[in-house]
Amino acid sequence: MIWLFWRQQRLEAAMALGLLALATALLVPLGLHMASVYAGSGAAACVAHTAADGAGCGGILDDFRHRFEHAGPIVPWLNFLPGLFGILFAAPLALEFEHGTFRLAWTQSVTRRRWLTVKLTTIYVYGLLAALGLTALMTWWRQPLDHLQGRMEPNVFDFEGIVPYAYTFFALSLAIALGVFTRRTIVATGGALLGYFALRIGIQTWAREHLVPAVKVVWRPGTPGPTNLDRAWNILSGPSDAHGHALPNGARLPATCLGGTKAQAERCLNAHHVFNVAVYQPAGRFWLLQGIEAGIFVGLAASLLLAAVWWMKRRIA
Amino acid sequence: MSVSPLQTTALGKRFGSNWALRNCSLEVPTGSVTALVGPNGAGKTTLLHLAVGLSEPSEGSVRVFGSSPQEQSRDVLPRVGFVAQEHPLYRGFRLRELLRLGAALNPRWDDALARERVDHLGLPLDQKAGTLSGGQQAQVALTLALAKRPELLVLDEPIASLDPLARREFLQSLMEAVADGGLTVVLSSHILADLERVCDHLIILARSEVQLAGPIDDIVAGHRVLTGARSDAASVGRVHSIIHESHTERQTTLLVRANGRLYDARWQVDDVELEEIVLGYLSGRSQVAEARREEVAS
Repeated sequence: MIWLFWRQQRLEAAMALGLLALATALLVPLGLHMASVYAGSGAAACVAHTAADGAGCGGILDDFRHRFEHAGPIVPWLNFLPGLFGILFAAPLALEFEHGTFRLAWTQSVTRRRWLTVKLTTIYVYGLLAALGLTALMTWWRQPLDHLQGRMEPNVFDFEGIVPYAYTFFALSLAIALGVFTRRTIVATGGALLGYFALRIGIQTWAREHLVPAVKVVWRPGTPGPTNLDRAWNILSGPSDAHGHALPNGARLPATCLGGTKAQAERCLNAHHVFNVAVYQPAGRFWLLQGIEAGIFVGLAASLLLAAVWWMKRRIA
Repeated sequence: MSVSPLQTTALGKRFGSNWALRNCSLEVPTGSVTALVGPNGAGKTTLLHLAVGLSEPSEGSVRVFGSSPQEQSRDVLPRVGFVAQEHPLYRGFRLRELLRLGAALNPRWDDALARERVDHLGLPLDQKAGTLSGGQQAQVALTLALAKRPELLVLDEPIASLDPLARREFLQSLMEAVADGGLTVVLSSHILADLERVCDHLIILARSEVQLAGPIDDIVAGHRVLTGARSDAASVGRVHSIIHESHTERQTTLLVRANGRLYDARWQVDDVELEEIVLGYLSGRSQVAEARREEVAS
């Protein structure tokens, strides 16, 4: 049976490998270049705090940031991949129902339960292996930037840790469920891609920052602010009132404060009761947030999968 | 006495609020070739799906060799060969791969038989299933079912989509398989033509219920067509079952299932062809009622 399911999935497996190869071809040269600059320029030593005093770490790190912050413009596009893996590997099952070949499969000598168990295991193993490839590539590529800036920001958080597996699991389950319920491959794949993005964008835009209440720090200009912002996910930072409500744009800063030295400006802002605020998710919460978000996707995926399995066992003839 | 290959008791299947099949009790004898005939939507596919365990009864029971095809599928499936409507095959698979599929999924797989049949059909093993003609696909699907070495072979509308030549070839293959022995066959069709040569038993299914079931010889022997001057058929109906009646201005024709000897001087009694019997059952009592209404109106 393993042979049979490999035979049915091999085209899709080749397409998934093709997508991964494309991403690899684009990111590996960039990653190698970035890694060599990171080591050669002394940035690595600065981050590891092994650089000699007076090595000019501030400048080195700023240079490095400027150079690579916006590297890899294809990265946001790679958000498609977990969704594509999902619909690619689920499509043969949807086709099975669209073409009626499940009636051929389920009337051979193996029981439906066994067929489903092996089939679904195959699909999920392939899907999660593809997710593993993507996660490994992204984690390797980003290494220097992760050290420097952390991996909390969107488009980084989404490709590391465990969430890529959860996303893939969700896309697979949604495509399987739609395929089973509608028996139409185009609905299963199109609908699953749509549903995948709706949930991804919805959670990233509205939910992720509230999964755990963000840290909010308000401080007076001139006093030391929070020190762990470098690798955190900065949701909001800027001038605010005493309660940490951000001032709408810089336009309402008292114009008289903007000239003069830094110390003068700080005194002036203090006199006008202008504070600084930072709202952020600290880097230490990476695994907590990963766990919660993965839990949401896995929970939904498991429900969809259970419904689909129930439907296949009881309702499809 | 061995258990029946297929036996149903008060079997029913409901989809939502519609009964696709109701109150179906029948027994298929070992070694018989049974035609399941009825119009489209009569419940034939539903019955066959219940028989091979693809769906679950809403009421009553179905037994294949004494076991439930759904709950004891491990015992039933190896003994049953099934070709679904439109004889589905994996289109991207080469014939060689389809045979490998059969071998992988069936412990009793007869690879020599499968290869011999494919060879006999003149099909190269490298050909993809999707490039075969409809008749060839049906033959390949039959090959997959036969190479399971089933004791019960269930075919859902196997010839409906085939052209006349492919039909004849398919039925020829089927007869050869039956001649090898040890096989009970149930096949459904919405047309009887061509099947008479192959089948020895008949089940007529219409309006979700079994209208008639039995050996074809007995069915033909038990039915008569009566022709006479236009009259009320009530006196005939008291003794025999009137299956269908039709009236012209001067003449009444009755299709009757005879209860014992049938002799009545007012009627001309004739033997009747199987096809007419089937049509009589399929058009059924609703038309009788209609005919009566017309009579009243005139």
